[in-house]
Amino acid sequence: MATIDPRLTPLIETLIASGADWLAVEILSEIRMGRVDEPSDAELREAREAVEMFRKEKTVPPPTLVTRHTNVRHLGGDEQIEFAANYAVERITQNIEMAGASLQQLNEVANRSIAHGDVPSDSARPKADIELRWLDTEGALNGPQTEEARAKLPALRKALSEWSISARKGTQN
Amino acid sequence: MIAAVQTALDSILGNSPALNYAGGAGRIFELYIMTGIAVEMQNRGFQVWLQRSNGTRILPGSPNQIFIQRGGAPTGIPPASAGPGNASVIGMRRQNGAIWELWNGVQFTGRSGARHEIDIGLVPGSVGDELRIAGGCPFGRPRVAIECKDAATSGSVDEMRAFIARLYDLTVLTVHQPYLPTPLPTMAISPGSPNGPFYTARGTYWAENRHSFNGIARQSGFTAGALAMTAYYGVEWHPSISLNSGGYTTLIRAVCQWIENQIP
Repeated sequence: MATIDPRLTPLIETLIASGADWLAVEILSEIRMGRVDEPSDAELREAREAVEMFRKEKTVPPPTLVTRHTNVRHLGGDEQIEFAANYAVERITQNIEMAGASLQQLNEVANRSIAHGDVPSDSARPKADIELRWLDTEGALNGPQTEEARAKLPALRKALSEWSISARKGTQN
Repeated sequence: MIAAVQTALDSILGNSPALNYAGGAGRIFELYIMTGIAVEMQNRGFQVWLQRSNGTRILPGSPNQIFIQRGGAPTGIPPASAGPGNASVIGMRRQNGAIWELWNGVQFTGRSGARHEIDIGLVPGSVGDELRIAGGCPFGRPRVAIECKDAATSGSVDEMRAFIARLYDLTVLTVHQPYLPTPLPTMAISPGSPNGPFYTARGTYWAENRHSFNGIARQSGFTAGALAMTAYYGVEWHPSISLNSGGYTTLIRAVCQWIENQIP
């Protein structure tokens, strides 16, 4: 396990204060665990083909894959800071983009379900405008909200980049 | 410097409820896969619809166009009498085919009596109908089971072990019949399973694994040792699932091809 660089503390505290404690935990966990080797594209393809064979063959036992040793590389102090800043913004960006794409796909499903004859087709029928909610969670998410969040991402990226540079130089405030 | 980070974070997270609770990002990841399957099945000519927890459909123009996803904790299926305020599902059927439901974050009961969450599962619509009478958890195994891992850490062999163990407990085989609370014929899932050879329990785990689609979908990749059991148990690994990524397209195609080829 890697030792967490104390210069990460302001970022971790800020994430917790903003309600993204899950993201703080993820960052610390990622750094402690280190970076690991992953299978190559060829190995993943081989694994998928093996599953296909497993499904098709009726009597032949499925092939087994050889287990390789996994190498782990721990990040140094400056690398940890750079990793944490990038990870935070990429994770939030991806989540907002996926939420927006999911909403789009839900609307597409709702709109096209009419075309398959579930209810009489009517060109004047309004388009679906799905809103997302979660059980046991306050608030909702709709298309305009995801657009608004997306527009604010460059500011977060810039702020995290500046913090990362200053933290590595030892000038963070 | 850090104050600017705080300001930017607050302005984004304050508007995104899914990012403000543990597991919220994971739920969005699951929804992205679930809705991708739904759109692809429509592209393949299936009828697909959004369905509220009371069994009614969400149609454009209806006053309630809210799709509800489970929050942090998985649950069973609530009774329809509880109203439309519980988790929604996605329904689908081929032309003149049986109705199926795509569930997210539902607990299934295993032979041990333990309950296991399946992140994305495909079950016969009649099972959903039966459970919506009084509420409860299905007993047995879905035909499609996808474990979703929205983590940057690479998947380990333990992740595979955990998923296989869950499927093992959920698998109902014909040899289990003497110990089951359900009557003959032995069905792969109950209550409410349709009759017919596609729905009956198999004789071995090997046959049951082949008679279902099982996969692990990860935002990142897998550690080298994690692939060793994949072929033996027929569990597909799908790494690099991100927005419109090649990994996402491959996963959606694989699941939908299986559904199109296999389900009645």
